Amino acid sequence: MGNLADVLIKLSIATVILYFVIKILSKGFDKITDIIGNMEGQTRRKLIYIIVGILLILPLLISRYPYILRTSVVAIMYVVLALSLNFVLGFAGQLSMGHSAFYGIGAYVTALLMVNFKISFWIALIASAIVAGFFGFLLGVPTLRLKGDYLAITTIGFGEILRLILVNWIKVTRGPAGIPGIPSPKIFGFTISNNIGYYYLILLLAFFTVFISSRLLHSRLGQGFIAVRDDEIAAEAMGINSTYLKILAFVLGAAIAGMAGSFFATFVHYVNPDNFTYMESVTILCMVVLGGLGSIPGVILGAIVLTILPEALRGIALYRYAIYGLLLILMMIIRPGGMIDMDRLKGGKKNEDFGGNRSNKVIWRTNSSK
Amino acid sequence: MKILEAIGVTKSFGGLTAVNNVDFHINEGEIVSLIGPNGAGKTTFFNLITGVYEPTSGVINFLGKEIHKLKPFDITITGIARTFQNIRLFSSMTVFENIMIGQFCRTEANLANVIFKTKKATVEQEKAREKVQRIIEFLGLESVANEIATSLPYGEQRRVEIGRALATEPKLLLLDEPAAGMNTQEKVEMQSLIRKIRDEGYTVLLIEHDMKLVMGISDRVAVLDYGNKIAEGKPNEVQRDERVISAYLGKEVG
Repeated sequence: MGNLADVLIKLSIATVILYFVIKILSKGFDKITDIIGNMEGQTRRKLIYIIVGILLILPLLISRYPYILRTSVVAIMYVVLALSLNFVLGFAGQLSMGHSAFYGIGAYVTALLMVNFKISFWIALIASAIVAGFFGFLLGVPTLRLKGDYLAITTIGFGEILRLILVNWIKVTRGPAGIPGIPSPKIFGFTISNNIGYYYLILLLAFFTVFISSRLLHSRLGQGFIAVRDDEIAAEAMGINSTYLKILAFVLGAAIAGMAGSFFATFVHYVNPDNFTYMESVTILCMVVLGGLGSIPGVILGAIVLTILPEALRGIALYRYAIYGLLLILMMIIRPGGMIDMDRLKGGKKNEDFGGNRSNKVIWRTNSSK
Repeated sequence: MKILEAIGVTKSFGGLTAVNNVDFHINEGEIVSLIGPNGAGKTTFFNLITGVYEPTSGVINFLGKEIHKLKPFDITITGIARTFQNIRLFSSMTVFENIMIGQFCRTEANLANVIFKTKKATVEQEKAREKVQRIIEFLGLESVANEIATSLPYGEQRRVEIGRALATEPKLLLLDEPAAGMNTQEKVEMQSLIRKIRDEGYTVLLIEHDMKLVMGISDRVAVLDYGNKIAEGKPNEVQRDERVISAYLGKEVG
């Protein structure tokens, strides 16, 4: 019992400290958000070039630290995954909690094609995107009439069904034993075999995803997504076919998650059903919400922070996940809009008064309408 | 010319008949008002026209086309736009973006167009922006165009909602209690705005409780009571109609 009391005291102290740390960080995030939000197009472009430049030379600087390099690769992979969920959750406002299913479909399609049929990675990558996207469509058509919590439950069910298929369809998936020996991708005769190669490969995929996200967000379709997210009834009254847009968001999100899965399969050379559990979906969901629903820089940051955090907390092994959980809770209380709030990003300083609360209701509002 | 015609429209919810066998039409270029006590079925009738509900029986024609089986977004595309009794603006969008959403159904760039930013998408987007700019000027919202719409005062939010409806390029504009919650000054402004909209060539159907507003601008008034249309005609005729008076003020016994 003494032990438990000890743990509780330590956690309470940690809570208080973290509370103030996040309060201070929160001010910082506001500053960053305002700076990005008020940036002129030209400056913004320059900043993007600088970031891209840093990302391009980064692996050469850290190549002597394989652990850091590998963590970077994983972090960027989660950026892709979080951005893919952002289409569904951040843009179209649909609470999907089975996202790891699409990630898993991508991984298994690539594994099966590359191992059994010796198909090139690039074709497997595209096939993974198509198959995952198709499953996104299959899931989307019947379920997107559901709202909020009901949709969440259905998507959890879908994720579980997929995992059970992977476990039990032993003939094809080899069940819990998984599929080992997935070859490395080849490009122009070179084999991508070291971490630096994988780094550039996933970075390419991340650029592709950011590009699509950004083009989409600033187009009529992206604004249509946001309209459906904000108020589905009003969106329909404005001539928007909300079912169509929701399915589109689902298919896009699923296809890109499938590509991330495809990358994962060749990166670790081995897939098994345990990689694609419900917890995985929740982690991706946390990245999107913590980063800032719908906000592209926010989601990127969320994915990076939530990948690095558990690694950084290894030092306090015993309390690692307790602290991780505490951070999530406190963050959501103090900054419900996420690290980089999409609305603040757009409105600059003007909507200070509205800061957090509005983004907060995005997921739940879908229930109340109709 | 009849732009909208409802023939024998009935809507029942279980045992309750909210709209009962109503015949109704709107001529092009008119301002027509639909009035009636609370619960008379006005909003239900509105929802029937805009496709939120499908009538239990009866037909609704718009520009010679049956629309009562269409979905709300299809009806908007055929040319009927609406505002809501309790304002429903997109809360994360600026005024400009809100009104821009109205242009969604008049633009057609698909996924490939927007990702590759094809010429089609860019040109179309530019045209839409110009149209929205004109609507913003028409409504006098220039100074708040980049503000988050839901942060504006009530009266301006109403105008943004009307702007968003106009941006769908409707033939018929449906306004659901546009003056609700407004003060006298704002009501006067709303009245002149509705006239201005009509003068631009739109046809307007109005649901409104404020009799001064209704009688001041309507070409025709239809009165609903317990789901039945009890009177229709010029404002001064309707005002004198005994059934209307009794519906609003109650009937004298004996």
